[in-house]
Amino acid sequence: MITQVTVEYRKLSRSLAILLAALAPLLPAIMVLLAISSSNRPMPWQTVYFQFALPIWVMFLMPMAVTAFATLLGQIEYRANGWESMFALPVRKASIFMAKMFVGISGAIGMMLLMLVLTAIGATSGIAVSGNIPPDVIPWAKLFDKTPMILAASAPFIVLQMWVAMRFSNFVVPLAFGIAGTMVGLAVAITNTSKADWFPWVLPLRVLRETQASSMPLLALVAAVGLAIAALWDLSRATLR
Amino acid sequence: MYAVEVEKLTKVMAGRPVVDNISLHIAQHSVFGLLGPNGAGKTTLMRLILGLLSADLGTVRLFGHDIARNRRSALQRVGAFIEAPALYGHLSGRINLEIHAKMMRLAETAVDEALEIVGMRSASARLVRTYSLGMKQRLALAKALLGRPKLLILDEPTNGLDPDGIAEVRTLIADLPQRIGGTVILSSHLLSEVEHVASQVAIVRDGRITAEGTLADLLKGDSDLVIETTDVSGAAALLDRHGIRTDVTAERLVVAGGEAALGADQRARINRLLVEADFEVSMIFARPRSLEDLYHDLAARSDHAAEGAI
Repeated sequence: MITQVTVEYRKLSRSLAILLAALAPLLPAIMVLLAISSSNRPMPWQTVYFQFALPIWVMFLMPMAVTAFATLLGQIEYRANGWESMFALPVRKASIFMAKMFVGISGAIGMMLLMLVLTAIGATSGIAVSGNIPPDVIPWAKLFDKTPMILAASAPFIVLQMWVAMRFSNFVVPLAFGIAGTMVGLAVAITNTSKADWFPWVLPLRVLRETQASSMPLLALVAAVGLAIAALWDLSRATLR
Repeated sequence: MYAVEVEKLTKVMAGRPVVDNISLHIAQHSVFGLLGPNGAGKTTLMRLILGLLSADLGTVRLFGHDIARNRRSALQRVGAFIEAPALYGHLSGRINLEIHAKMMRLAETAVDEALEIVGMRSASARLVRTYSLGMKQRLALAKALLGRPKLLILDEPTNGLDPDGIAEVRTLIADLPQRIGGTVILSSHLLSEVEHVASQVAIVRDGRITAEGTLADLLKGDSDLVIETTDVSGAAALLDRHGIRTDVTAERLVVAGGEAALGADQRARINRLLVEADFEVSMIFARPRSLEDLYHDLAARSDHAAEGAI
């Protein structure tokens, strides 16, 4: 399994997927930089992260970035006729899919962490330009608390996205799937309805908005494991080419 | 023990048997050619042999291991090239091979060895997307050769190549049995691709093996008699009255293998019949049968058998 994961990371070098993973987290940072540098008033770090960067990231940018990243990961194999080449090797099919799934999940984690760091850099640059010093410090404790919770809540949709990206040779299918999920999530967020709290694309925003600890991230993780098992079962039986 | 044992293999796709009750036994250390026109079922058969498709009926065993039940053991030391080169265009040729070698748990020296065999060492640092089709085919061949497989399965390895590329890959394949000391299965729709390499061949048509044996045996004695004359249709009618069946192709009269194979007497008799009936025969010669003729005959025979069955 470790060998498979290493191989999967090696395939990412010079790929569009790695470029996307580096660029997508840059967007909140640029937005924060522009907002702070063009404002007359100081923006508190609490606002920078929890009312600006994270909501945008969780509601829209992360689902879209995961959609594109997963699609590109799947397309690496489909474009190269790579699935059959790997299946003709004495390697467990499940370990091939697990490794790919692992890369997808680690990519999402990496993008989010990079986004948090780049946002800090963007905000600091904005502060330097505007001269408006924020009244507080970076809310480290809250960030350390919320980030793993948001990632756990994101796990179901990341697994679903990876499943679809590996399952279909036509890249339009995973793209449409991810865009539809993101749009539904956005609609739910805008309408503030509680009827779709279970929807995978809504879970991260729910966790971000929660003021008290809940069991939801843990339940989301359990659901993600269940979905991953179903995905491995389905993919191992499918003819992929 | 056989390298490959295929028993009563059947695969139905879209309600049509693409592979229909095929049985094959391929000995170790041999080169086996699968010949057949495009769409005959060769690639599907190879995919079934590799376990890339599951069979509806029948079994495949590689070195005694059932591919459906014991896939990983069956695929130990099997190299394959199916249809098109499976390469990552954004990576260099060497990294493509290194990735494959790592999955097979091979040492890096295996990569150098494979690159050396296909003559791609100097170009291995370049990105695969900058390669010509011929280079991609050779790199894909190197990938299949990693770790000196005991069984090498090559499906149409010269597809899409120019004549120079075909010649290069053909020479490479001809050397493979000596270089790797294993079994090679080579599929093609071109007789020329397998005739100098394969010790045994099977002809696949409509998902069935229609003939099997050495190429020499399959084509032996079956020469067509080609006749050029002034009135082709009149000559055909005359010969037909004497019980000799003919085909007219490209303004020539062709007496198919079975009739002409009767020998010099029969050929002389045909010539005499035409000349005595005042047909001017400008040319008459025995033409060795081609694979296309063989396909045609086998198809006619199988259609005839099917009609007989009805």
